[in-house]
Amino acid sequence: MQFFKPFLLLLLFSICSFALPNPFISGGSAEEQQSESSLIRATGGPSTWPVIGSLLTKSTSAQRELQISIANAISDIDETGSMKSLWLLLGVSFIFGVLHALGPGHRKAVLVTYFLGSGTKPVKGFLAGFLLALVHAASAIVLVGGLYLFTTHSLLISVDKAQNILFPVTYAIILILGVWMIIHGIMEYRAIRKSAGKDRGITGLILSGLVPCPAASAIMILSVAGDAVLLGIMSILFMSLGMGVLLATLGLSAVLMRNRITVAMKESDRIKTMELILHLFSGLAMALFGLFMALGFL
Amino acid sequence: MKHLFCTILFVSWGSLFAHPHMFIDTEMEVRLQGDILSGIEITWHFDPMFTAAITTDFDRNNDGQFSSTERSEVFSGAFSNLETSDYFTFLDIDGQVYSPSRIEEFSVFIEHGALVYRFFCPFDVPVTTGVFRVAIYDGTYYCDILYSEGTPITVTGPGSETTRFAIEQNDDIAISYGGTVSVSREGSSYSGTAFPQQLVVYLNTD
Repeated sequence: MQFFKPFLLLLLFSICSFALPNPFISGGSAEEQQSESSLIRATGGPSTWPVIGSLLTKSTSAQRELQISIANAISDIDETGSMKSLWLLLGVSFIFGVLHALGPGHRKAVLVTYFLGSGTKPVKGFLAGFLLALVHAASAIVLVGGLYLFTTHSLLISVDKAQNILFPVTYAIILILGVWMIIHGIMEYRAIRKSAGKDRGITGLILSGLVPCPAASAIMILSVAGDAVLLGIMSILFMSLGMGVLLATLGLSAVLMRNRITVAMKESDRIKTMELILHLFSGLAMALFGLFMALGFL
Repeated sequence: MKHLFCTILFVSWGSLFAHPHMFIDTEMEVRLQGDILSGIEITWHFDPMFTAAITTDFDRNNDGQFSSTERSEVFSGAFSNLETSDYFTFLDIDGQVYSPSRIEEFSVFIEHGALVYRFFCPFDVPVTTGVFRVAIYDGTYYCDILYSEGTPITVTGPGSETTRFAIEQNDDIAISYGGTVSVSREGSSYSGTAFPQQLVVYLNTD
């Protein structure tokens, strides 16, 4: 039972998690209202974890400064062509990427859960992390750049609307990936299918990062606004490299961890059972995560 | 191995909750009428990214200013939806929590290269207990909101001369993660605890 606790924890977290739209962006054209101030329920909610809260708050504070540094560097390079500012931009973008990926989201949970449940070579876990980060950031370049070129509407609102479409799509991918892992695990257990082809799921994993990273979108918006698109793209790519370092480390760690768990099971029957359990729980966690997140958009 | 396992889970799943993508520095002018809180004028200074987004979208003639038409478009396109988030403003009088259901005097402008929103939240509520608290935070933590450096708080109007105020931690309200966003930059800490830092105004302190 001890072994299952982390998985139960995953399920709990997957139920609690949520994706967020920009609270400033309106779907309609609400008018200034004329009613009195309203009495509302007292703000409340679950208490949080002081250690995590402290770390994230410090990280947020640092990201504030880094974001301003990125904006200043882009402006400086655009005006003066300073090489020093260019290196500063790339370095700061990389650090920003690492810090930003350390925060919540960015498919870390999906990545780790996938590789804990579905074994593969360590190098694939490592590369998948980088590719996931690249897709997550590069989609911002394509989305914002495309909307800037082809839409006459508000860029901010257009990006928000596009993200609201992409979010449920990627959650559907995660749901399907979870179901696929469950089915694949059962088929493997029953020796209907050997492990060949199991890495196909990695494609789905990477596609789940198609929704653009909002921070990358913000940099892209800043760069198109300042006619410095190339600098924005470079900044985002280095930011994705920073995110990739963290995601790749997590992917690699998850693969190694899974390998250690299975190697520890010396009897062949226990290995098969353990692999089935890892597949089922990881698949279930991912499917429920994708389902609950997608339901939030209905 | 167990520790490594826990660490991976912690990093990957342990922080699924929202994280900030916008950064706001806030100022408040608390307006009094004796023992009545007329309302609060709030000023938000935005980060470069949101500034670029709004100016690109709404400053159509790119003159660095927002005409009345552009102001209306900013209001409807990139502000009015905050009604659903109570304009991030929570007033606590003796345990009763109020939020502004309307705002007045909305203005938008550029100051020192940063986008600024300024608006007035009317309350018109008596403060019979002689003390009230105001917290400004985004409960979803999409926006990280801090008090501006310098003098972020002013109290004006009849009765303001006998008031004093402080930024204190309210241990009676535990809020979801992100609730500590309204900490003072020079305040006690970026503590990360579940209790909000709030402006506390004491009336009639003579």
